[in-house]
Amino acid sequence: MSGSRDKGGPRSAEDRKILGWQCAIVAAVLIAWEGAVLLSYADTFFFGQPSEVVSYLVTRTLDGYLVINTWVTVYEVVLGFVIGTVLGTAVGLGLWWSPYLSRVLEPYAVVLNATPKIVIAPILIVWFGIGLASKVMIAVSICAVVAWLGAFDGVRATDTDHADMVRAVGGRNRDVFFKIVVPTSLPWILTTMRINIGLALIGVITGEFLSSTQGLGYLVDSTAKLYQLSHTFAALVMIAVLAAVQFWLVGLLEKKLLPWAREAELEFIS
Amino acid sequence: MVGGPGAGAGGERRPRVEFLDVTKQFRQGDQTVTALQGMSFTLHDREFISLIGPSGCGKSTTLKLISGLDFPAAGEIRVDGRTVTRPSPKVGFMLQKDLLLPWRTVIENVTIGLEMRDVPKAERIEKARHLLYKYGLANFETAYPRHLSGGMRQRVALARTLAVDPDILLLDEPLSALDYQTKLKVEEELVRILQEEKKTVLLITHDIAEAVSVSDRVLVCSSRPGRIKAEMAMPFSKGHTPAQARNRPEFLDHFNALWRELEADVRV
Repeated sequence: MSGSRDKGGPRSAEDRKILGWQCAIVAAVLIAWEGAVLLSYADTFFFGQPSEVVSYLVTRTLDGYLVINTWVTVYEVVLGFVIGTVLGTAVGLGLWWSPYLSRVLEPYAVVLNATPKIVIAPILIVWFGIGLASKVMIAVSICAVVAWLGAFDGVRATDTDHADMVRAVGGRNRDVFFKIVVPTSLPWILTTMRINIGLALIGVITGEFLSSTQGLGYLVDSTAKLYQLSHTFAALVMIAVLAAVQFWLVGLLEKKLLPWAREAELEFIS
Repeated sequence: MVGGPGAGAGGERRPRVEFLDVTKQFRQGDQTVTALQGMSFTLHDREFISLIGPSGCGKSTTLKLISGLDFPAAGEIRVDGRTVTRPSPKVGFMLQKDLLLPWRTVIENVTIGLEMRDVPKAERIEKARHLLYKYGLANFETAYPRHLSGGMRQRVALARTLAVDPDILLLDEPLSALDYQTKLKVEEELVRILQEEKKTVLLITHDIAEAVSVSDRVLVCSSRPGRIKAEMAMPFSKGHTPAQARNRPEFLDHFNALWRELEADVRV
């Protein structure tokens, strides 16, 4: 998946051609959409209109309304993602120290993993209110479970011969943990981060759908209920941009933390 | 040819590793498997011993017990006269797997043992550089292991093992993953290095020719439960490279003698 993206160097003629096609498809869809509205094949009331989406994006960015709502969502996602990932990863890695405790917790992990994590959202809104805190907590709870399970998978992939090698040269448990277990788990941790950044966004937006007064999810929900679909599409565009930026940032982090795996695909991640 | 413990080339030297009537069992599901039953042998100072035997005769268990990574059910293992209770800095090991850490560069792989011993960073790097230079890896310091060939990876593993200056080395089929030509070449290098550094070596192998050409003595291990069923002194280790040993007329006699001992236990 990431193979073609990771290769640096100049773009080939084929790459440029593919990019051309990709842009052309977007343009064609937008033109067809706008045209259909202008020629009255489609009703703006139900479908919105690209030009209206753009003018909304520009004016509401300039007057700060979109900026504030985007900021609220970003804030909730980032805070929830960071807290959840740190907590979950710490627990997952920490369980290396106690095989006994990890066996005790194993069935909970399986059940939590199989349950759609979003079901807890209404409860968290009851507990933490309709403000930012409940959205952050939704993202935290989702990210923590996924990060826990991911980090623990990494821990279990630790090669006992590597651990023995460190012990044989005088390493203690602390050395095995920091020099073998943590680096072994790092690719798993980064993969869960890639999953989590997406899940945090879903969690936050779902929370905003359920009850909120601010945020991109709130914009989508409230404008759709008022049949202002151009505004809804504008919010969707912002969410898509946000998701793309988040993915790109996690990709950068991955390259920085896993220089040894940069050219090769991470064989053990599929 | 067949003698009790202590016979053979190293008889007059001081014992470094003593394996005394060792029994080791494993649990495999509901069953208890006896890997070693009353295994005894002695490895003397600067001696090069090979341990050969059919698969599953507990050769690798033997290595773990000497390393202090596992403990016997009965019997005792001593290194320099002291019972083994944990890994000793005097003992180093190399396995078939090179155990290089993919997230560390070559030089960082070599320094890992020195890190555990709190050697200052500048000193660690200097020592690792010196070893890498000696083993012809000077240009690969900052490469990651996956860029190296199998033979180079094992030389890095050797540098890592020797960086902490163990004088007893346990080698568990360290070259068996290499292709034949590379194996012969690295084997020759390995033997030369270990002789120059005056190391005491226990080599676990299933390659009879390798055992004959590099060792002072060869111990033959029985199939499970493992114990020493025969022991033979070999004449080639001093003054011959492994390749020269293989070309000596009497090489085949020793080879065949070992094969006869092993044959009885080999089930196809």
